[in-house]
This record gives sequence, structure tokens and C-alpha cells, in this order.
Amino acid sequence: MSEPVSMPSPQPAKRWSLARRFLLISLTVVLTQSLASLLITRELRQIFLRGFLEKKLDRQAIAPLKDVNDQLDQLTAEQAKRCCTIQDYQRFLKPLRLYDGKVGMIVGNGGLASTRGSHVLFSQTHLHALADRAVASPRGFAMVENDEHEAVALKAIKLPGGAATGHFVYLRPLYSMPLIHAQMMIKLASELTLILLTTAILIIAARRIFKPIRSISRELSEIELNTLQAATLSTAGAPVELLPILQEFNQMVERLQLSASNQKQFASTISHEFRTPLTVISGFIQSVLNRGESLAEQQRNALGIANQEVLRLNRMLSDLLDLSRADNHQLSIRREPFDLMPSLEHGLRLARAAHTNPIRDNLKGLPALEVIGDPDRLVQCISNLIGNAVKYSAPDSPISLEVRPNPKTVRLIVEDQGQGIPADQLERIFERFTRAEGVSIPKGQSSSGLGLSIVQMLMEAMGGTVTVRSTVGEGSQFSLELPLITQA
Amino acid sequence: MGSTMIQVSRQLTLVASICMGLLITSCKENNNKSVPTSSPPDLRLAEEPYQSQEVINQRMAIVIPYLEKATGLRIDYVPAINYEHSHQMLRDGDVDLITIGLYGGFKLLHNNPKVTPLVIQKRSFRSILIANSASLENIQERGDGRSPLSIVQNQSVGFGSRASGSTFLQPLLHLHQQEVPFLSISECFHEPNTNHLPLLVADGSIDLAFIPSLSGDPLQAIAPEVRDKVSVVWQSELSRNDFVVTAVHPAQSLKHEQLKKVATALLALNPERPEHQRVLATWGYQGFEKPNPSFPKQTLQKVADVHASTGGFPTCQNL
Repeated sequence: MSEPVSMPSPQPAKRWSLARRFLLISLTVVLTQSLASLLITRELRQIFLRGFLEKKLDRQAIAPLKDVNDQLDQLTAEQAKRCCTIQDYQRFLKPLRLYDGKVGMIVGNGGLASTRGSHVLFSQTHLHALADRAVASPRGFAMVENDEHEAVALKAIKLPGGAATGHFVYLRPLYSMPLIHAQMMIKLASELTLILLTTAILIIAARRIFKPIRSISRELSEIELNTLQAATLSTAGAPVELLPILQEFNQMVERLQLSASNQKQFASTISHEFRTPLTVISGFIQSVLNRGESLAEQQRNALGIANQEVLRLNRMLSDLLDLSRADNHQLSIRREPFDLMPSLEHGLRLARAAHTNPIRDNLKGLPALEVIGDPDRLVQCISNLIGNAVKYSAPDSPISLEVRPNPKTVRLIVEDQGQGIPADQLERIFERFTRAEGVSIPKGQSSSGLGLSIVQMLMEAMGGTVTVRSTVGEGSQFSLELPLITQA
Repeated sequence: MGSTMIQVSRQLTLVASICMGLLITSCKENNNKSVPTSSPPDLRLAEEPYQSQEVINQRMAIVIPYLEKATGLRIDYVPAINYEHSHQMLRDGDVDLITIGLYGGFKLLHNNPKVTPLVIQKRSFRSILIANSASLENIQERGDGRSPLSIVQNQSVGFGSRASGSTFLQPLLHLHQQEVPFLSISECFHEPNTNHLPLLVADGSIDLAFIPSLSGDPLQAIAPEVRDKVSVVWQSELSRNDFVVTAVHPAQSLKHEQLKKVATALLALNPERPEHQRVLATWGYQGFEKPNPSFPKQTLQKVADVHASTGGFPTCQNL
């Protein structure tokens, strides 16, 4: 048999939360903005740094370049035609006095010559690489950094003449480059801190913003079908954005309350008004049957069927009236200590009188059990369950009522060997006007779909529970559980 | 983390550099394909290097295609190291024509029948004396007031090349004309690149400088970013300074015909036409004219007279 099922609990589909989406979008915006800010800052810094340094070097290179140009200008025609060798380059650079790590170079067909002291700071190979880089760069300007964050700016200027004269290359160290890198790191750290702070603020903001919605959600989850009177939501302190929704909801609840009230009143009135004439009809049929020895067999059968249908209609009306009274909180269910055995024996007597199926029990030998509940309603529940068991079992199929006392409760188990209920239907059978799909009713029988919902309603009102386990083809087992007071 | 970012940045830079290098190489290859270099040029052109080589190269990249299109000849530009070098190349036949100033003309043409002027610039040259705007008042106080150029006395003055016509000989002639002794200048410098002279004045390296204006606009040669830092102290009357000279060739020779075509192409330059204006703007000229009795012959004679009367032109080394 499958696991017992008590109350239906539908699984909610996993969906995006509005708060989570708001948070995610906000964080994406913040993150994108921060990354864009970092990239733009980096690019702009590069552009401005290059622009600034290029202009600076253009101006700074004029003075040393003037000295070199002046030397070239003084060459005789013959010297110019023979120009230039590495010695010429060295001669052109000789008057230059550059300090603070600045270097002047001439690189051309004659090779590479550099100003005095340059080899203290740079090797010839390094100078060559730097000069070549500057010459190949657009407008002759280049910024070169090494792994130790040591950087230099270079400006290459073509000297008058062809390839023989080559380029004058002016080099100056960028001592502030580590500071620039430090600034970049500070910027990065501040952006990361800002992201973390913004994230925290956003989470707090989202919680505060969606607090009214969570509150409404909580209130809504507490609303029950039978408590529409308390279903209105409070509008006090609600944000203006939600106020129209809340007001509309409350108006809807009021309309529902009115509708439900009218509906229950109608059902109650109809049930009550129908019972009297039905009782009268049933009485007259019984009277005719009791004194109608002269009736033909066919007439007697017809009246018997009519009487059974009247009784069935009467039972249905009783059920409807009970449900209606329960919905209106007019149904009086007792919660008082009572002796269980007499009630069960009474229920069994009624069941055995009403049905032909063998009904077994284990009452003999059990001690007296005092439970809490309503003895009459318990009999009604037992009758309902045995009636159901008979309805869905073969005519001679046995039904059993078993009593299982526990330390704090007592369990009453009605078991049949009928057709059983499919597992996917077990959750539905306690709903009103619902019958399990895949379960067939024997010919001549009918079901209003109210019996089990009334059993559940009565058991809960008594402080007990009803559960079911069933296997298709083997039978069903309904368990009623009531609080136990004493066990003799 | 910072170091990683820097490394990533460097790698990106390296990739970008490689791509740029490939692109440049590709462009160079394309250029090489489009311009055959195997055949020798019909004419070779040189210019006195009064500006940076980059500026002259940019000019020639515009001028040479125009001349080639206008004449149907293949013309090469030959860079000169200095003024003397450019003159010597003409003398030696390494180049066929050369753009020169008044001083170069004096050295090349005076009493030298082997060189002849081809075309001359239209009258638009002025010699301009500029000063640092911040120290202008102080400088003006030092002049004796007898002549405008007396302001240079006891100042540091920048000139162009010691062989420049526009920025050395022309100022010398004006100083001579206004009877301001060259030796009254306290300090003087030669800066062959005339575009650097306003920069040196702007940053206070020198008090005054003579610069050329070839278009009639006194501030033509001054970079926009330093225009507000320098002031025009004096400017000469409109005159001429530049012209194109060639070696003399027999009238029936091919070279003579080719040079005539070049002269025609240069004379045809009309500032009203945008494509011609683009060529003229590279020099700053208004256009070219045929040589006339006044220029360069008479002007060169006047230069020769001054040269003879002063016993030769000085240089800053004489101070």
C-alpha cells in the first residue's frame, strides 16, 4: 500500500522573485558602471598622459635638438656629403648636457650614439631598442615601461637630410609612473569597495522596499476559504503603489463574502426545506409497504426502490446541511471525553444492518478506551467509511474495523479489499464533490462526493485526523485517529 | 591583481602593435607596388632645410605629385642636410632644381652664370620680429627709439640658419638699413628650424627672434598654442625672398625642356583653385612669377653691395 496521505499540499513552481530580479539588475548596472568607469578612466588617463607627455617632450626636445641642428647647419658642403658616421653623431651630441636621467641619441645609418652618462642608466642594446621603438612610433612618440614599472617617454625627430643623418631621439624617465600605477590601484580598490557597499545598500533597500509585499503575501497565505470574514488586508501604512491593489482586493473579498453567504444560506434553506417533504414521502411509502399485502410484487419492488432513493436523497441533504452548517460555524461538534466502545458497537450494528458484506472487528478483548470527541459524529464517520468500503467492494468482500490503541491516541482502521484508489488520486478524494478518477461505482450505486470531505471535516472538528493508504486491486485503508484519555 | 591587469594591458598593447606593424608593412608593400622605383627620375628637386625634415617631407608629398601630374615627368625629392649641402648638390648636378632664399641665391647666383632663377615667389614675404608677450614691456624700454629694430640691442636674439635668407640675411639687411649694429646684440642664436624660433621665444629661452612670413600673415609660422605668448614687435614691408633656381642648360636640351615644364607648372599655380591652393599652402606662398629685373637680380646686387661695404656678413659666432 502507498504511504498515507493526509492533506493536499500542491508544490509551488519555482519562479523569479521580483526582489531578486531588482537586486540582480541593480547589481549588474552597478558592476557594469564600475567596470566601464575603470576602463574609461584607464583609457582617458592613457590618452591624456600620452597627449601631455608628447607635448611636453616636443617642447623639451627643442633645446637639445637645436644644438644638434646647429652642428649640422655648420657642416661644410663636403662634410655634409660625407655625413654621417658614428663619430659624426658623437660630435653632434657632444655639446649636449642632459641631466636627471634624460638622454639624447642619434640613430641612423651610422649607428647609434648617445649623450654622455647614458650608459650608466641603459645598455647600448636597450638604447637601440628604445630608439627603434620611438622611430617606428606614430609622430615619433612612445612610452615604454618595463616589468619594474620603470617607464620612459621618447620622442624621435628626423634630422635634416636623408637616412644618413637619421633621427634625434630624446628620452626622459617617467619617475611618476609608479605613482600613476598606485593611483590606478587605489581607483580599482575604491571601485571594488563601492561595489560591495552598493551591494549591501541594495540588499537592505530591496528588503525595505519589498517589506510591504512580503507582509501582504504573509497575510494572503493565512487566508482560508472558510474565513473570508478575516480575509481583508490592512491598508494602514501601505505604500501608495500598493494601495489601489489592496483596496481592490478588499472590495473583491467583500463581494466574495456576500456571494458565499448567499450561497450557504441558499444551500442551508434548500436542504432544510427538502427534508420535511422527503420524510413525509418516505413515511407514506413505508406505511403503504407495511400494510400493502394486496400489492403486486412489481408494485412492491417499485415502492421499495422509491423508498431507497428518498432515503439516499435524505442522506445527501443531511450531508449538505452539515457542510453548510460547518461553513457557517453553526455545526455543533462536541469535544468531550466519552467511552469509545459503545459508539463503535453502535456503528457496527448500524453497518451490519445496512450492508450484507461481512464486517469483522477486534472489539472483543479490548480494554475500555476513553477518548475525546463527539460520539454521535464518530458513529457518523464510521458509518460513512464502512458505507464507502462496501460501495467499492464486491458484495461478499469482507470489511474490517480494527481498533489500535496507542499511548496518546487511538487509531480506528476501516479496511476493505475492494478496487483501491490510484496514488495520484489520494490527495483529491477529500475534496468536496470529488470522486477519484479510475475508480468505478457498482451498478445501481451513486456517489455525491461529499462523504469523505464530511469525515475529514468532522474528525478535524473533534481534534482528530483522517488518513488513507490504498493499493489499486488490493483495497484501501482509512484511519481515524482521536486523542486518548485513559486506557483501562 | 594590479600587476595582472598591467600584464594584460601590455599583452593587448603588444597584439595591437603587431597588428599595426602588419598593417603598416602591408601599406608599405602596397605603396611599393604602386610606385615603380626602378627607372631613374627625370628631375631631382631639393630645398634649403629651413624647417624640420618631417615638414619638408610632408610638403614634398604634395608638391611632387602635382609637378609630376602637371609635367608628365618623374621627379624625385632629395633631402639636404643643410643649406650648403643643398647648394652643393645643385653645383654637382645631384639635383636639377632647388628652392632657395635670398642668401642662398646670393651664394649661388651672384656672379655665377651657371645657375639661373626659374620662378620667384609672388611678393608676400615679410621679415617679422617677435618677442615674448610677458617681457614685451621690459624689452621695449631698452630700445633707444631711433629705429624700430634698435629694440634688439642688448637682447638675446634668435635667427634662423646662418645661411638662411629669410631669417638671417633679411634681418641683417634691415638692421643695416636701420643702422643698428649687429654687434649691439648681446646674445644671438642660430636655430635652423625656423618653426622652433617662436617656441624658444614663448618659453623665454630668447628675448626676440626673426621669423619669416611668406603669406603676408605675420603669425603664419607661429604654432597656434603659443600665439598668445608672443607678440609681433616689428615687421618689414612686403617683399620677396624665395625662388627656384636651376643649373643652366643649353636651350635645345631635354633638361631645359623639362625645367621649362616645371616652371610652367609652378607659374600655373592659382590660389583660387583648391587643388593648387593645397600645393601653395605647403609653402605658404601666394603663387609664383617669372623672374624680373627687380628680383632676384637687382635685389642680389643690393645684397652684394651691403656684403662688400660691411666686409662680409657676420654670424652669431662673431659676437
